[in-house]
Amino acid sequence: MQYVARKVSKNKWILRSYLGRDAIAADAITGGCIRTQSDALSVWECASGQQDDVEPVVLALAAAGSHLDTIDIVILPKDELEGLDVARSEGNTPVQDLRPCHVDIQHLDTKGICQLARSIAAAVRSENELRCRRFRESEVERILRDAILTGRLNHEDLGEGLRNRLKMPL
Amino acid sequence: MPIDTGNSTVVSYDWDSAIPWQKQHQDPDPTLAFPVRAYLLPTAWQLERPNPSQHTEARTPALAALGRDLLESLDILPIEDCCGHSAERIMDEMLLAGDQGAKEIGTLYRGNVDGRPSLSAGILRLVGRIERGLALPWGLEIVKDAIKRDDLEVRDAAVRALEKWGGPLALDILRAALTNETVSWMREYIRGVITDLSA
Repeated sequence: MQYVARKVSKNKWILRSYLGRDAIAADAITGGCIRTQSDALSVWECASGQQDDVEPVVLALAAAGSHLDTIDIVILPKDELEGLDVARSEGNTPVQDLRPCHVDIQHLDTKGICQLARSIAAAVRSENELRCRRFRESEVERILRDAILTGRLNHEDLGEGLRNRLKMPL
Repeated sequence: MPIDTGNSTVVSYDWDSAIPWQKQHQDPDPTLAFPVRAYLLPTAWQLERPNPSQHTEARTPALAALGRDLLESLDILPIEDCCGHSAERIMDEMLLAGDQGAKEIGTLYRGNVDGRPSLSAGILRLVGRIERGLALPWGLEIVKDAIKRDDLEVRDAAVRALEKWGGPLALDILRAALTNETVSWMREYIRGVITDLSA
């Protein structure tokens, strides 16, 4: 594993004129981008920040959702997770072959959250597509459709909203 | 509760009975062009509602209460990409009141966009998830305001709504927004959406 990726809301991480230089807005922390469960943060591993390597992460996340949305993915190098407790766990996605690619950053405390927040902020603010990439709705749709057509994803395993949206020709 | 108006039997508008009515119509009909939330189609609503002027007093407090629930729901948990949100159901219930519901949603957006722009962005994300046929024209008025705002989250929510609805009006608004946009990645996003919608 070289990198991990996570869905974020890019615009929560931008610099604010009313905050100090390099400061991270509180909404970025409390707004869901690094919301933990049982002190663990869910991420997906990927080989690099190249589009082809990030698309499986988009597939895993989008297929598990109920809406087709534009999605922001932040890509963090493994060395920025130093000191954090990283463990594999089965991912919650209908794409079976991607389930083993899920990782939990576990036993997180406030220090760990701050470390992750600094890493995410740096990635978003770098304006480097290898660190943070936006996939438009049309791209997410293409990724899902391709996965269905190649048999990687079963159309029937999608939530109702997505299933209706992605009705496949017979 | 059915009442006899002399000409035809209609269902009287009572907020408590509106919710079970809605629940009976939750299953999307796959034969419809817009199966999701098809029970909200204005024609169905207009056929069954009585004269709105007779019920304004009863409806407004209910809408206001739903509006408070909507804001509270967004306050507790912001909208997450690809994920459903409990506030979607609340907005659906507001739209059962037709024009008044839409007006109330616009009021909620405008009432928060200066002081709490994240909340207004959340409202706009929900509006963007409504079928185009139900969200226009009132949703478009909100988007036209939002896309000119200083807050990036509000502008982003506006572009996302247009991306979902598409159509020539959406393209016109996006082209105008592109010339004014100062943030490079947002410009890139708008450019991409214009390309997608033009295809």
